Formats: sequence, structure tokens, C-alpha cells
Amino acid sequence: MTAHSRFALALWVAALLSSQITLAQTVSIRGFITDAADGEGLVGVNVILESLNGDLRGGSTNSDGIYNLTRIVPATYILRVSYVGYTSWSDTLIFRSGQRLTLNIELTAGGAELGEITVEAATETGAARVTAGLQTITPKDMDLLPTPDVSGDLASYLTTLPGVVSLGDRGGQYFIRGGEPSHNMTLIDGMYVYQPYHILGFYSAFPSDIIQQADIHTAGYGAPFTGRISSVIDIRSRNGNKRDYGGTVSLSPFVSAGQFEGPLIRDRLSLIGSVRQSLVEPLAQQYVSQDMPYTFGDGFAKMHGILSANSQLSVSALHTRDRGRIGLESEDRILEEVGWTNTAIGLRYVVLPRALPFIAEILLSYSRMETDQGPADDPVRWARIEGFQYAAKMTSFYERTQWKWGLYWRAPQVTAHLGGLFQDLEEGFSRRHKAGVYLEPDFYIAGGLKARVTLLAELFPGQEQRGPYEARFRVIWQRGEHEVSTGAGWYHQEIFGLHDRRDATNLFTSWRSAPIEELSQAFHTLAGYRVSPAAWLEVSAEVYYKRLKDLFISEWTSFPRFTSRLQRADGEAAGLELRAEVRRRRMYGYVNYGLASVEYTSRQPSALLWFGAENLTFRPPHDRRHQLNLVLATRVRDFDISARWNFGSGRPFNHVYGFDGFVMMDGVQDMFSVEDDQRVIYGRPFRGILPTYHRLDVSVERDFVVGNVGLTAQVGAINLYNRRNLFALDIFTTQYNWQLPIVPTLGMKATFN
Amino acid sequence: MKHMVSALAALLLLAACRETVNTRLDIDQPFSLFGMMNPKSDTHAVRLFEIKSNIALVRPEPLDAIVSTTNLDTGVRTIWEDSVVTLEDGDYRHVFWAVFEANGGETYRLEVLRSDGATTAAVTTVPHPVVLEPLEPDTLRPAEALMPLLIRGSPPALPRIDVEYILVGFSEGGSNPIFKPLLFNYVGEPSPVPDGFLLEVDLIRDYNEIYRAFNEDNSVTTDIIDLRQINVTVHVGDQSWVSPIGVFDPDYLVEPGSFSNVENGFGYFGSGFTESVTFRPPLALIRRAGFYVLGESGAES
Repeated sequence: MTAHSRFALALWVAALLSSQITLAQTVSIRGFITDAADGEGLVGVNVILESLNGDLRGGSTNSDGIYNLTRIVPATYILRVSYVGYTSWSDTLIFRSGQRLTLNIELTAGGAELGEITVEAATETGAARVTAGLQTITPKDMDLLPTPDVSGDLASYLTTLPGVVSLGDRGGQYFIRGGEPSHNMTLIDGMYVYQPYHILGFYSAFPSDIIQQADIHTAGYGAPFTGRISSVIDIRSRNGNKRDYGGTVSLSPFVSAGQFEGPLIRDRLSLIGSVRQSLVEPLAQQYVSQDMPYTFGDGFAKMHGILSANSQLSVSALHTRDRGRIGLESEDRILEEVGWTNTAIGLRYVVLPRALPFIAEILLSYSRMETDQGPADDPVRWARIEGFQYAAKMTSFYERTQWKWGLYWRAPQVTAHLGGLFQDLEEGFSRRHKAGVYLEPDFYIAGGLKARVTLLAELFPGQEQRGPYEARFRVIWQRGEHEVSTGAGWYHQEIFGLHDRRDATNLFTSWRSAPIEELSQAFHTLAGYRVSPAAWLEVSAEVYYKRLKDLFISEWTSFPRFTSRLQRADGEAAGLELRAEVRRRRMYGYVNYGLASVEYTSRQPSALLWFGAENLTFRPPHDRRHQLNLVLATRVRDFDISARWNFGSGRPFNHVYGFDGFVMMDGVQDMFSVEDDQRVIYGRPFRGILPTYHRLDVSVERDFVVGNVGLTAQVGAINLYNRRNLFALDIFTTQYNWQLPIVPTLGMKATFN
Repeated sequence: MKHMVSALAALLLLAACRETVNTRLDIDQPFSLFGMMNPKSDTHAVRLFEIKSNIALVRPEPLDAIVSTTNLDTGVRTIWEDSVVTLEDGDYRHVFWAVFEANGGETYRLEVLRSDGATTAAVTTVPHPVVLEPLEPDTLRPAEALMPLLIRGSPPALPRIDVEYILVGFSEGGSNPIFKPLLFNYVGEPSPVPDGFLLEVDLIRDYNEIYRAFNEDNSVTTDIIDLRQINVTVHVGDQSWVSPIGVFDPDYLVEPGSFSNVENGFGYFGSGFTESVTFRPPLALIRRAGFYVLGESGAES
């Protein structure tokens, strides 16, 4: 048995032992807390157990609405449950020795009071509420932002985060705190979605109507999310209404959408579904002074069932599709189409075992993403990534500790067929199945101090790749209105996306497996401070540093073609993010600022010949140094008004000296017939800086009720002061590809209950 | 109100700031050129590219360029003519050419003059002829099968050496011979000797590659691999025709300026010629390498 196997085994034994120790605890209470109106699980509900002599025990519900209090001394207690916007609930309970009680509770909307004792919720939302790199957002946060549609979308919210760099209002590429799009993990209900953002940047595969909450980990995330080195966006969808039928239909010049939910078996089984189809070409393009050859759509469905008082099962499915032409056509250059589809299906089973005092979550899913590029109907390049994922996650509870432990198995496989103009045809296939085990205890130390330690070991069965170990930690200290957090950890990634970074209009990403023994790695460290000096004001600051190792990027070349030859690079990303959020009665707003620096150092043998040094250090094209976001929402009479202003400093790009041809003079040639290549005479990589980006969007909404139908009408404008923002620069033709000019928007949404 | 006006003014200021960017850096070089003079031919040619501001395809219209060579020894100047060739994909190229004799030892300066006076130029000295002489191999050296070839003369550079094996194989169970040529690159392998350079064709090393190629080809058997002859083609170049990395790898040399002798431009203009020889190594050497010799019961292993 290898040292690595022994370590993995030791972790597993420790995890099992932790559950056995828990077995020795004899009195516990747990259950699901749901909204009485629709059966939806409530997140962050305060649960307090008060003994008759005044001793308190507390906790809060997780993202499934589950609470769990253990190691309770047998006695009589009052159980109090409170949640903002809901009527508090309480009951007197008499615990007998050895009892393990499951008590599900329904809360009714209406009350607003909190008990005199408040336990901090495990998941809290807010634009300035960032703790150790984690920010949780809800559909309400997304709906506040002005978009070309009545409903909100996760993509619009992401663009207001200070550590997220987007290429503009199209392209569907997000760079989070120095990482590349393929370094981000996006999950919905535990299913991987490899390229979840639509070609038009306002939209993702996740409309706010289907989302319960989204956790955005920009650094320092825990063991369940191993396999990506930059960030994690973990989305939990709503379960759907188990009492009544309802739905929405909306129409705007950019997208039409329909959403439905309701009980299949009342109080037991619900279905929620959503479908969206872009209307950009038939509608929006007609009045926007710009070609917008984009079409996209998505569909999501989830069935959620309550199997018993202590177990739930859900099946989710997602499909997205995008197609369009990015860039500008020229006399000598036919613009190629790029398209991609995502398909994911997953099963999630949550159980509170009667005999064992922990929460178990079983996930099984299959995800697939296909992308292609080339002339319409004749793609010359395509790539596919697909695979099954299985995970078992356990959470055991003690009085002052909480142990997460689990195991997983993933089998991603990638296939690529790369052809096209100037491109040597290349076929590729690889599979990287792996298994892992982790242990992640949370310690609730006295004085508001909490600590989490993560230990993880992975195996790549049947492959020569050694399994990596990873260790992470985070510490949070909370006292009154102050919170200080810090964390650090190691991360790795065995597959990555390869794209041509010389040309920002090139959205084609070919997924590849990292060479054996050369997994991409990252080390994250961060520190943050958050304070609420007043009930209506919250301010936070966070600094981070990421060291990136063995990134694989496409080789630098003067051939004007996509190259799949790999070039190793290391990188560093560092930044400071400042946030302030104001919540007044009639006014809500936030402002944030991000200062960032990303630097890559590539090791390309030819660099010595070309640039006189083996290591080439450059700012990658997503190194945006400054970002400022301002969001303001208010209500005037019955009108909801919101505005958003984004500012971003210019990103690096490649200067070009000119274009010529190249003949390989490797011997005596017949100059009348020898083959040659077109060639770009580049300047030193990424020394140019694009213009700054800024844009103001506004919207005004009003709700009406007509019979049983709720109507929401929206008018607004994207890019109100008509700033000409550069989306991409075609350095081959010196043509500019602009982002959207001023675009008036009009939308209507009907809600049926 | 004052704050609102200030904020609005700031927004308007930002709205007016720079929207475009200059993507091109200034470059003085007008042309890139690739070509050569060949002392074994009376026609010399150079492919000429304008360094342009975009990647648009080459047009057939005449270039704003006068191409000439001057014999620096005699002062004789020759104007080259433009011609437009059409490539397989329909694209055009401008190839300038001239007819005259260029002899070994002569030095020429090629100039490409644009109407505004911008000039791209290159200088080359024509190499002297060489002679290829297969030598008698030492068949007694154990575990070796080296076929020596003398490149007699003083070639300034040998940018390419092609060693082509003409082989005969047979399909599985078949009797019809299948001719199969395989090419090996021997660039960088000749070693200097008093009379020139010595190239040793390594039959054992090449046989292993040949066996692998036959093994991967389902149409032939590996039981019989008969070596009929070897063609060696040596490319002789002028003294500048040397790769800075030892080999001619386009992924390295594509970078403008990485392999160039052109002044005020990019590319390579040299002079050179090829010399070839065909021979069949002695049977003892062929057997030792592992080849099958038809008419014999088997080959040595």
C-alpha cells in the first residue's frame, strides 16, 4: 500500500470514527423547516433550544432547510424557530435519554419579529456580506439589477462583482479573481455545467425564477468543490410549489420565457420547469444599430419529492444551446459561427438517517458540453467534455464541532477534433477518472472564533498520475458588528480549457487533460474584514493572493491560427476588494471597487530565440486592474427604479506591426510553387491596453394585478449615455467590434397563481 | 443637488474619454522576401510580400516594388521581373525572377525598392559546387552498419540532407512487390573532414524506423524488407543558411527576425543548390542492418 493510499484510508477511517463517536450521542433533534405556503425549504432559519434554567443551544438551517441539534442533555426544552418575514414558531419538548427526534416544521409568512436571541445564519446574503471569499446571493439580489428582461439572471449579477472580469456584453466568458473561465466550477443541484453563460452576456443558464440561492466562492472554497483552481459557483434551485400551481410568462425584445411549478402529488411531489428562447435576431436586432446574429435558449426542470419525514429526493435536468457569430466580417474573411450546448441530468438524495445522527447527501449526475466553430453547418473544429459524477457527502454534528466528510468519483472525458484554415487537423481523446475522500471539521471555538480544516486525498485509478493531497483552512472571528476572516489552501485541476488568447473574439474552447504529473495547481490565501456600523450599512474589505502553477495555455505563435500545442505557464493574481451596502427603507444600493493584478510567466522554448529570455512574463488579456460597480434601487410611488453603473479599466491586448507571409526555407526551394503561410508580425505579447469600459443601465418596473394575474411592466435602457465600449478588436483587420449602443428595452411579465 | 450635478459631470467626462485604440505599432520595413539564387539553374526567383496593415489576401495587381540584384564583384545590375502565381486555394503570390548565371564565389546584393525610397535588401555569396562520393564501408566493425558518403568540397552550410530508402515489400502471403520509399533527415549529422564533410548513413538505426513503419502498415508484411537503393540529396547553402536552433522547425522560425538575413525587412534570401547521388550499400552491410536480401534464405538479425 502506497503512502498516498494509507493517507486516504486514514482519512476515511477518521471520518467513519467521527460518525461512530456521534453514535454515542443519545439525544438529538433535527428536521426540515419549510415555508407553509409552498413547502420550499427555508435557508438560514434560526433554531434555538432553551432549557428551563435558561441555557441556550442554537443553530440555523442549511441550504436544504435542515437543522440539527445534537448532544442535548435529556430534559424539558422550549424549541424556538424564527425567520425574518415569518411568524415565529415555538414548542415545548421533553427529551428522553437515547431519543433521536425528527421534527419537521412549517413557518407561515407574515411575522417580522426576531426573538431576543439571534443566532447567525449559516448562509447570509448581501452585496457586502463576503466571508472568506464566499458571497451568497438570492433571486431578490438578481432581480434588483436592470437587465433587458423583466426577470433577473445570475449572469447580470456576476458582472457587478468586483473580482469578476467579463469580456463585455457578449461571449459568455467570466474570469474570476485571476482565473480563466475553465478554472471556474459551476454547479446547479450538484450537476456540472461546463459553459453555463449564454453568448449574450446578460444571460446564463440560470434565470432567477429557478434559483433558491447561489454561493459564489471566489477563493478559499472547501473540499466538496475540488477540481477547479479559481472559483466555484454553487447554485441550489428551488424545489417548486407543493401546494399550488403557478407560473410566469414574460416577453422582451431579447428573450421570451416561461416558468411553471406546482404539485404533482400535493405536499409530496413537485415539479418546477423553465424555458427561455432568445428573440435577439427577430426583435432586438431590428431596432439596434448593430448586427446581433445570436440565438440561445435554455430549459430546466426539477422534480422534488418528499419520500418520508426524513428523506427527500430530487431529479434535475438542464439543457442550454448557443450559436452566433462574434466579430466582424470582411471582404477576405468569412466569419465563422461558434456554438455550444450543455446537457446535465442529476439525482440528489438527502436523508437524515434514523439510526445515525448525521445528514447524508448522495449525488449522481451526468454532464456534457459540446462546442464547435467553423463555417455555418460545417464546423471544422469541435470539442466535447462529458462525464459522470458521484458524491456522498456526510455532515455530523457535535456540540461545538461539525464534521463534513465524504467521497466522490468523477470520470470526465474530453474529445476534440481541430481542423480549419491554417490548422493542422488534430484529433484527441482522453479520460481522467478519479476518486477522492475528504474530511472537513468545523470547530466553534469560544469568543466568536470558528475554524475549518480541510484534508483531501485523491487517486487516479489505473493512471500513472499520482493522486494529490490538499489541505485548506479558514478562520472566522466574529464579535458584535465586526467579523474578521482568513483562509488558505491548495487546489488542483486535471482538465482545462484551451483557447486562443491572442484573439478575444475567439470563443472556441477545446478542453484538454493536463499532462500526466503536471496537474494545474493553485495556492489561495485571503483575509477579510466586515463591519456593520449601522443597521442599514455594511462595509467589507478583502485581500487575496493566488499563486497559479502549471497552467497550460496555447503556444504563442505568429501563425494566425488556433494552436493546440501547449505552453506551460505560472501565474500570480492578487487584489483588494472593497464593498459597501446600504439598506434603507426606500432605498437600496451598493458600491464596490476591485483592484487586481494578474501576471503570467510562460515557459516556451522558442521564447529564448524570440525574446532573449526563456521565461516570458505578460499580463493576460483578462488582467483588468480597476473595476467599480454602483447599484441603486428605490421605489417612487408604485414604481421600482433601479440603475447600475459599471466601470472597468482597459485590458491588455496584442499590438501588431503588420502582416506578411512566411516560407519555410529549410532547403533549396522552387519559389514559384513552394507553399507558404500567412504571418502576423506581433509586438511583444499583451503590451497594448484597450480603452476603459463603462456603462449605465436603468430600468423602471411597475406591478399590476388583473384578476388572478399579476403583471409586471418594465421599461429601461441599456447603456443609457451611449458609451461606445469595445467588445473586441480584430487585430487582423483593425476592425472594432462594439458592445451594445443605447438600447431601449420594454418587457412584460405575467404571473399566474 | 450639487453632488448630483458633480456626479453627472463626472459621468459625461467618462463618456467622452477614449473609445478607440491604435492597434498597430509603427514599422519601417516595407517588404518580406524569401528566395534564392541557384548556380545550377539559369533562373533565380524570390517571393515578395508587402508588409501590410491587415491580413487581407494578396492581390494580383503589380506591387510597388523594383527588384534588382547587383553582382558586387562586377557591378552588373539585373532587374528582376514580376510574375503572379496562383496557389491551389486561389490565392495569389508575387514571384520576381531573373535569368542569368550565378557562379560559385560571386556575391550578390538583392534590393527591393519602393517608390517612396524605402528599400529592403539582402546579400548572398553563391557557394561552390560539391561532389558526393560514396565510400567503401568498414563491414568489419561490429554492431554497426554505417555507409560513408563524402561531400567533397567546401560547402558553407548544409541546411538539409535527405536520405531516401527505396524499399520493396510484399503483402501478407502475396508475391507482387510493393515499392515503398521512406525519407530520413540527416541535417546536422555530417562531420568536417579534410576533403569536405563526411556523412555516415546509419543503416541499423534507419532499419528500426523502417521496420516500425512497415509494422504499422497493414498492406505489407515485415518478413521481407528489401533495400534496393539509397538516394541522398544534399542541399548546399550559403554561409548564412544556418538555423539558429540547429534544425529548421517552422514553429520556431516563423517568428519574424528569428531566421533572417534581410535588411529592413524580414525573410531569407540566400543561394544554394542540391546535389544527389544514388547507391546500394554492399550486401554485407544490408544484411547486418537487418534487411532481407532477395534470393537468400533470410537476413542476419
